[in-house]
Amino acid sequence: MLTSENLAYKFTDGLQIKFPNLNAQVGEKILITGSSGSGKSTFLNLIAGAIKLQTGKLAFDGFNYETQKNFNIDKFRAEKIGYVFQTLNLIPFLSVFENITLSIKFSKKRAAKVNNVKDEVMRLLLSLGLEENILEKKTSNLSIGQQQRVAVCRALLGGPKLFLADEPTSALDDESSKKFIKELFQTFNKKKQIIIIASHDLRLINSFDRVINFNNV
Amino acid sequence: MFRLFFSSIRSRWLPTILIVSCLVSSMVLLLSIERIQNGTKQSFNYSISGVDSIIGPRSSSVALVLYTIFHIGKPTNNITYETFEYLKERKEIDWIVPIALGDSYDEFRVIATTSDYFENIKFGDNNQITFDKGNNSLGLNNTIFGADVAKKLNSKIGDKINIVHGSNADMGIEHDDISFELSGILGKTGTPIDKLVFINLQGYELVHLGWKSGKKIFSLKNQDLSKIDTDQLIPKTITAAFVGLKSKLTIFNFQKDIREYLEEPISAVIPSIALSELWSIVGVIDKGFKLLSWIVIVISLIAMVTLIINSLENRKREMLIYRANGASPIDLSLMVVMEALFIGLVSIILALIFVALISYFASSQLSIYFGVSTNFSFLTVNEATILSIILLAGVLSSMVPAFITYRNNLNQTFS
Repeated sequence: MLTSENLAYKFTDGLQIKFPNLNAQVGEKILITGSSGSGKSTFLNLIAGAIKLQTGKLAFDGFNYETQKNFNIDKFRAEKIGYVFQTLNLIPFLSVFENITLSIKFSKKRAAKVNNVKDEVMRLLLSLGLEENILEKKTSNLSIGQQQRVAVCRALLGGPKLFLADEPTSALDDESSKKFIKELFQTFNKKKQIIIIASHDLRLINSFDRVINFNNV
Repeated sequence: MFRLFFSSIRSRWLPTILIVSCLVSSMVLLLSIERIQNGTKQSFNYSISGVDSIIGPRSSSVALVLYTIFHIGKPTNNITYETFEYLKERKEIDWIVPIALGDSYDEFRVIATTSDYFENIKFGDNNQITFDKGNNSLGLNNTIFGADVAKKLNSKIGDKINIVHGSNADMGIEHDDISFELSGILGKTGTPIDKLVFINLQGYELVHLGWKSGKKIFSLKNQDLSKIDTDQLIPKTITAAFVGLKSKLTIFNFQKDIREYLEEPISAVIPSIALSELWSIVGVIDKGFKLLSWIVIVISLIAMVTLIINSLENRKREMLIYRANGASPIDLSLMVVMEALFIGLVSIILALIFVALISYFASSQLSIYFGVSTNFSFLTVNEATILSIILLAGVLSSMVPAFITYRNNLNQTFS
C-alpha cells in the first residue's frame, strides 16, 4: 500500500507545491493529470525517492521515506519501483537486452526474483508487442514507440511492486498511445502491483481506476 | 556494473584512446629513461672488477676509463714505458697490467697486453676471464679473441690475422708483414672484453718496427725476425696500465703519489669514481628528461580528468537512467573512479609492454655499441613504485569528477 500525507515540496525559487493525500491499494491503476507545472513529475519524483522529502509523510510497502537515508531509498527504488520517463529512456550504446536488464543490475533482491533472465525479458517483450529479434539491436535503431515499450519492459523486469511513468505517451500518436496503455495493462499484476502514471493526456482517463487531477488541488 | 562501465567507456573510445596514448607515451618515456639509465649503469659497473686504479696520461678521468675499459673514444696521449717500469716496482702494487691501444681488426679494437691481463682483470662480481678454446699463452705472434669476435668471424684456433693500423680497420693500412695466429678464444663475459682482439705487447711493438708517425717506412716482410734484437721489442710507450693494490686502504695515497710524479704528467684513476663522474654528467640530461616526462604525465592526468568532467555533461541522461534503476550517487561516483582506474591500468599495461620492447632494443644497441650485456627485468620495485604513484594520482584526481557526479545526482529529478 502507498500512502502520502500532507506532502509539500518547496523549490529553490521559493515556489511551494502541496500535494493531495493519496492512499493507493495493490491492484490500483492511478492516473495523475494536471497542467504543466502542477507538480505531477515532482510527486512521482518524491515517490521514486529521487528528491528528498521535505514536508509530510510518505510510505510504501512499510517503508517510511521520511526516516530513511538516501542510500536506503536508492536501494528501495532498485528493488521495488519501476520508472519510465517521458522520452529518452534508453542508453544508446547498450543493446535492447542490456537496457532491459539494467533494472536488475543494482538490486540483488530484484535480480533474485528473475529465474531465467532471457526468458523473462522475452515474455515481457512479446506481451508488449515487441519482436524477439530486436533483443541485440542498438536502441538508436528503434522507433519512439518501440523505445517506450523497451523502457516499460525494463521497469517491469523483476516484478516491482510500484510502476511509475511520467508522460509515457507524450511522444506517441493516438493509436500508439492506446495500444501502449493496453499492452502495459496486460503485463500488470493486479495481485502485486500498483501503477501510477502522470500525464496531461486526457484520452487515457477511461483506462484507469482512479484519476487525480492536480489542477483541482 | 563493470560491464556497464565498460560499454560506456567503449562508447567514448576515441577520446579515451587519445588519453591512454598520452599517458602511455609519458610513462614509456619516464620508465625508459629510468631503465636505460639503470641498465647502462649496471652493465658498465659490471664490465670491470678487481682493478683498483687505471694509470694513464693526465687527462679527464672519465675519458681514460671510457677508452681503456669500454673502448669508446681514442687515447690522446701515452705514458712512457719507463714510467710503467717505475710503477711496477712500487711496493703497494700487487699486480700491474700494461695495455697499448690504437690498432684494429675488422670492426674490433686490438689491445696489446700481457698474459697477466687474463689472470688479473675480472668482470662482474669478481668473475675470472675464462677460455672457451685454446689457452692464455699470448706469445709474440699470438692473438686471443673475445667471444663476440670469434663468433662474428667464425674463427678457429690456428687462424692467422693481420691487424690494421689505426682504430678504423676500413681506413687504416694493414700490418701485412706480420701475422698473428689465433691461440685462444675467451668465454662470453657480456662486457667490452668480448669485442677485443688481444695481442702481445711486444708483438704490437714488432708490427710497428717499420713505422714512424703513423706511416710505414720499411717492410719487415723479407727480414729474419729471429735476428731482431729483443730490446727493440720493449715498448717505448703504452696507453695505460691497470693496477691492483695489495691494500685498498692505500688507494688515495697511491693516487696522490702518482699525481705528484715528476717525470711525466700521469694520473691514477679509480674506475668506480670515474664512472660516478660520468653518471653525474649524464644525470643532468636524465633529470631534464625525467622532469619533462613527469610534466607530460601530470598534463595527461589533467586531460583525463577534463575528459571525464566533459563527458559527464553528455552522460547526464545515462546517469539519470542508472539512478532511476536504483543506482545511488555513490554507485555513479564509483563508476567514474573505475573509469580513471581502468584508463590508468590499461595505460600501465601498454606502457610496460612498450618499455619491454624498448628495453630489448636498447639492450641490443648497448651490446652493439658498448659491448655490454644488459638484463632488464619486466618490472623493478622502483618502476612499480612509479607506476603505483601514477595510478594513485589518476584515481585521486578522478575524485573531482566523482564528487561532481555525486553532487549532481544527489537530488537529480527524473523527467
